[in-house]
Amino acid sequence: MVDKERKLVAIILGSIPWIAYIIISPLFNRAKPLIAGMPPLMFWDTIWMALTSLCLFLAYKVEFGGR
Amino acid sequence: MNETALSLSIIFTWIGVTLIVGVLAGIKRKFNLEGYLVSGRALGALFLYTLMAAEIYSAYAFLGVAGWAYSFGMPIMYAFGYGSLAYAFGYFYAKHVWKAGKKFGYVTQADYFMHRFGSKALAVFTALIGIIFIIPYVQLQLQGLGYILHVGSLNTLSINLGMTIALIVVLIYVYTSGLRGIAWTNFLQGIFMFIIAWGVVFAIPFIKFGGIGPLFEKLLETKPQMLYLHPPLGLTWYLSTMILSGLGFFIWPHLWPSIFGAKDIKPLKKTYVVLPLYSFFMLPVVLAGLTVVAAGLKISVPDEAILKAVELAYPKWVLGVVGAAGFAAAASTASAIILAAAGLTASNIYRIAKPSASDRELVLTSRLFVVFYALLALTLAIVARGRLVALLLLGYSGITQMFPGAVLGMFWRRINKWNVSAGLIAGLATIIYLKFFGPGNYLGIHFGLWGLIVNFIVVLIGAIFIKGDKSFDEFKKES
Repeated sequence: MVDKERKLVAIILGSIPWIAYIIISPLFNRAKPLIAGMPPLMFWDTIWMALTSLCLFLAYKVEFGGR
Repeated sequence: MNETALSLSIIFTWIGVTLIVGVLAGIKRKFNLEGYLVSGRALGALFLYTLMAAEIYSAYAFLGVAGWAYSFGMPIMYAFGYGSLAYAFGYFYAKHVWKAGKKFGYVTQADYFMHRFGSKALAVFTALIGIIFIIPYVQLQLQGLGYILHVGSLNTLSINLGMTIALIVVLIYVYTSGLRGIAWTNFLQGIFMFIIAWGVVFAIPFIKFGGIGPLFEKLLETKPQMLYLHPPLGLTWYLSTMILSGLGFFIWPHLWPSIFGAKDIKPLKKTYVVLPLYSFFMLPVVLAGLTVVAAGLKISVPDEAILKAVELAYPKWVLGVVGAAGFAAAASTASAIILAAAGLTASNIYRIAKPSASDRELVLTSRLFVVFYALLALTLAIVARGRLVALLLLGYSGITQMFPGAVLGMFWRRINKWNVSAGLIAGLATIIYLKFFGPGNYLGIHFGLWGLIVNFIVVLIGAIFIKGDKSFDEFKKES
């Protein structure tokens, strides 16, 4: 990949957390059913802390991997 | 030894240890302003990570988050979200801040505004906004420190006395060491906070209810309305605070010196890859706040919820340990942000007013203003106490108004001093109107985001008429 493509892929990866929190998380706004013992919104917002890290890790690999 | 003395001595022993480390780190360093504020741009990834983590996670995350969860339940989820949003944004943005800082030798955020927009007046204006809206952030830390000493001493020390003692400790931190010393104490504190959150706080719902599931089963029976978002803190509040804080996070003036402090772009980016994981430590904190609700305990100061949760589940001396971790969280952030506010005053207000000022004079000014801002925050904490989350959001409301200048200004030549200033004034006027004279969070959307929307509209309308800014070409010129 050339640098421009790498950068674009990285930016797409970096915008995934924004979509997960701003667009998708409102769909989880209900008290039941509990998921992993938690209300749905809390479950979603919690796992996305880890998934955000994963997205950024992949972005870093795309940008700097092998260099 | 009685329980009060034991609990307090744990807190003060920890404070003593961190002070000694901070002083040792600060000794024998040459004190020019750049060394004092940005550690000579030589920090690597691990150092940068703990510095930022401890600087970011403050009394707000430790006490405020638990307090908001205790009072309202799910609205606190905005705090889980905005950190991730901010890091995902900062991963791409911080590089530009760092590069510009290295190329032009910026030490503060206002240096950028002055150079990029070629305007001393704008530098002073943005420095003032930074300082004014950092004050509620400092106030929040002092209140948190006061609560910790209040509950940690089993109500022997009053909140006001606790805040005063805390202020003195924070001043000693800042006075003796500058950024490098704070980084070292933060290194210890970041690790300690993490261990306490997972080792001690996380166990609370298990001790009281036998697990996370049973805790929420109990809440479904007794307080189901706390488990989903509804007005006044409904979806619009959740989304608007998340966007406001997610965008505003990297505009905090105190974060810029730590970005400038980085050795290179890679350690900086690595830091943002890992920081979302550190946010996990808010999970036990939220659970602790909700445990207090499920246990049916009514408390008079909601932001003390996490400490009350500890009291519910453990022998009293454990309060000392948790108190020490909370104290670490709050004191490290307080010292970093007071230092940043003082740095802005010295280099962007004092130096502009008196260009002939020597480096020595600037360090002295910076140190004097540290005391002044700390006392100002203490006064506000005594006479106008607020909820910790609300204080942080108030800070964000003002800070985020600098977004168009700080972010768009880096990339777009149609942004100049005129539309940036007009946008800032319009945005600030909007938040002042909504907060003090109008309906507050109109339509449930946080007043800070309304300010940012108005601000953006003004900047973009201005951009139609601005062909290009000469100082942008200067800014983009390869040196």
